[in-house]
Amino acid sequence: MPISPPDLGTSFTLDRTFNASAERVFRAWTEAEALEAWFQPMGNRIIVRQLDVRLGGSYHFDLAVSPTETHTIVGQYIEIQRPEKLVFTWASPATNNEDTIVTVLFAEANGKTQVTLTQEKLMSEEILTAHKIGWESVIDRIADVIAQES
Amino acid sequence: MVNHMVNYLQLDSVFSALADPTRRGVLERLSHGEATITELAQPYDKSLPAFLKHVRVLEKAGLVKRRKDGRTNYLCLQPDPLQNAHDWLAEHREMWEVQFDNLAQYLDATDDSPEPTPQDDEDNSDADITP
Repeated sequence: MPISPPDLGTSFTLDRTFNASAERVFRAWTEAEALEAWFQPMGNRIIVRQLDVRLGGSYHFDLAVSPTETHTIVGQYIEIQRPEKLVFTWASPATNNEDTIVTVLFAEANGKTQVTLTQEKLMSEEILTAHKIGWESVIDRIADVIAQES
Repeated sequence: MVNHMVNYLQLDSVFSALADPTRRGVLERLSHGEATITELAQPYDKSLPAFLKHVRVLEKAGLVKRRKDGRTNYLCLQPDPLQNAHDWLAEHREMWEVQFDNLAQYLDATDDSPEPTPQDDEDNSDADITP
């Protein structure tokens, strides 16, 4: 069995096709009322404190994770191409309040819209470098030892 | 959510542990198998207390485990924390997957576009008002 280091990529991509026009799906991502209706990142609805969907504009969502604790999700819009593309920074306690980049693509075909979401920069570059040089050398050694034994 | 935080904090300590050449060297050595702290310290031109500091960083990150046999301390490799790094990414992915489910429900529930009903053209001829 080959030994390889755990995949510590900084990003992932997922996609889903929705039974709606790109315009409708885009609105669901960019209008406060809609976001409050569907977006529940920790199982709870968010409260939209700020939503300024313009280049450089900010958003600020609050969500109550317990009666006494509120988490905050904040970011800025980096690119807006209505209704095809939305790129924004994303920082929350789940990212240790570090900025990550979320890109959402909306591709309409035959009345359906494929949404592709990528979240990037989930770990800083120095962390990754340390991981690469550190962990991979360890794994290489283990692989060598096993190769010698067999 | 609490898990996210715990994993991230542990990750941070894992990566700062890996950032140092001495500590990486120790991990490499341990990839051959268990070793005593004295054996591990030997290649390094460091005092034992200075070397033990590195060992404690590795222990804190959960990368190595210490075993005591009489007066001898053995260390062995403990790669589990790196699995957490992987899980942490997977949790983010899952979060968005769930949001996609929510979004699909929302879009279905708010779909007020008119159903494409077939037009009955013959009715129009009846309504035709022609002199």
